[in-house]
Amino acid sequence: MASQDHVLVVDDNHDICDLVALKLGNSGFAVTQAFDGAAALEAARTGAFDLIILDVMMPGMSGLDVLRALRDEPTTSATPVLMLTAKTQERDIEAGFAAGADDYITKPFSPRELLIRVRVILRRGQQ
Amino acid sequence: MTVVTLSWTVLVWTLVAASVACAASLAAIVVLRSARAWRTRRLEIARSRVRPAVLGVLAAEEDELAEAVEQLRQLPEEHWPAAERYVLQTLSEVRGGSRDALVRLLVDRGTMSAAMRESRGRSAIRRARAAEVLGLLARPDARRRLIQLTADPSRDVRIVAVRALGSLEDPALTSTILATLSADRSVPASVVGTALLRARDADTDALRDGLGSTSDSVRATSAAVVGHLLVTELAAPISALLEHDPSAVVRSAAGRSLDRFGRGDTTDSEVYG
Repeated sequence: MASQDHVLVVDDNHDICDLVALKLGNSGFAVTQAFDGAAALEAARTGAFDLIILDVMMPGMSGLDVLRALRDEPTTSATPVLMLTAKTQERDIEAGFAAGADDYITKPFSPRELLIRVRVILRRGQQ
Repeated sequence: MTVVTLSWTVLVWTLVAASVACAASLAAIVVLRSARAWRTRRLEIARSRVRPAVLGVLAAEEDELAEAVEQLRQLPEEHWPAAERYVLQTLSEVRGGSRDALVRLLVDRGTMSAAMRESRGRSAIRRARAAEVLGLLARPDARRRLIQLTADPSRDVRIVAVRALGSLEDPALTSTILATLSADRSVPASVVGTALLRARDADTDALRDGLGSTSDSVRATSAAVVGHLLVTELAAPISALLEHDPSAVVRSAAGRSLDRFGRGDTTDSEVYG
């Protein structure tokens, strides 16, 4: 990382959110957490993030709704989004990519694999 | 006049008794709620003490893992029940080396042997909870006990045992898991199918046997699993089911599987004749 990349982690499960934040924080990323879709959108609109990690199943606004809203906003339309979800069916994954996700990780997930994918997405964005 | 006096006395005593009963009930509710709130608060405090150590293991890089596990292992004994509960809760969310390290720690601390013991208990709730723990640990040495639990007298225990067997992700368990669809065990097809799909690989012979079963439910579930795991070697028996099976449910599952093989959309007339 040339400068510190800033990642927004969105999950209504505080344990998962904290785990991902800890993993990325230990690896030198700046991390902000949001626990629901509305808070995620509000944070994302600042345009301060290099990547957003987004849970799909959240109460109220789902991850897919958040993703669609992000893609509609000029400040966030190009921000890479990695979906992290317990939904493992092919049609769910398809729906995620159709809504504009850049990558998809299913739960149960490996924190190490997540970190690798985050680095790959960010590297791809810098090229 | 005496009658009226007696009635007043009875009324007063009735009111007193009713008031005492109400007060006692209210007091009991307050005590129970306070006890529950106190217990929840205690669990939260206990959890918050162990949480950083558990998350530390889960977030550790390979070279930091041993030290992180050691920190968790050295938690004071009184914090261990909360740590065990929290670790078990996280196991379903993660995979990889950190998870394996946590499972080894739980096994060392006796979680697995306790679950094996509890799985023979008299209470179905405890047996089901034990089966769930064995599934979360997903250790091959629990396999025999979990297979026995798929024949438990309680249907709930059987269902949890099938889910737990699925978490072993072993294709060699295909026939055993399919057998729980039988009328005497009555595990739902959705549970059986999901358990089989966790293996991500197929025991082709067992699935072929399933496609030829006399049970509609076994044939339909086998056909669905064949499609999801893309076992194209079984395309011929799946086509035969679509053409000739007497059950519309089986024909429908066979059609969907063939569609997943890339055959195209199955028509209603193929399924419903």
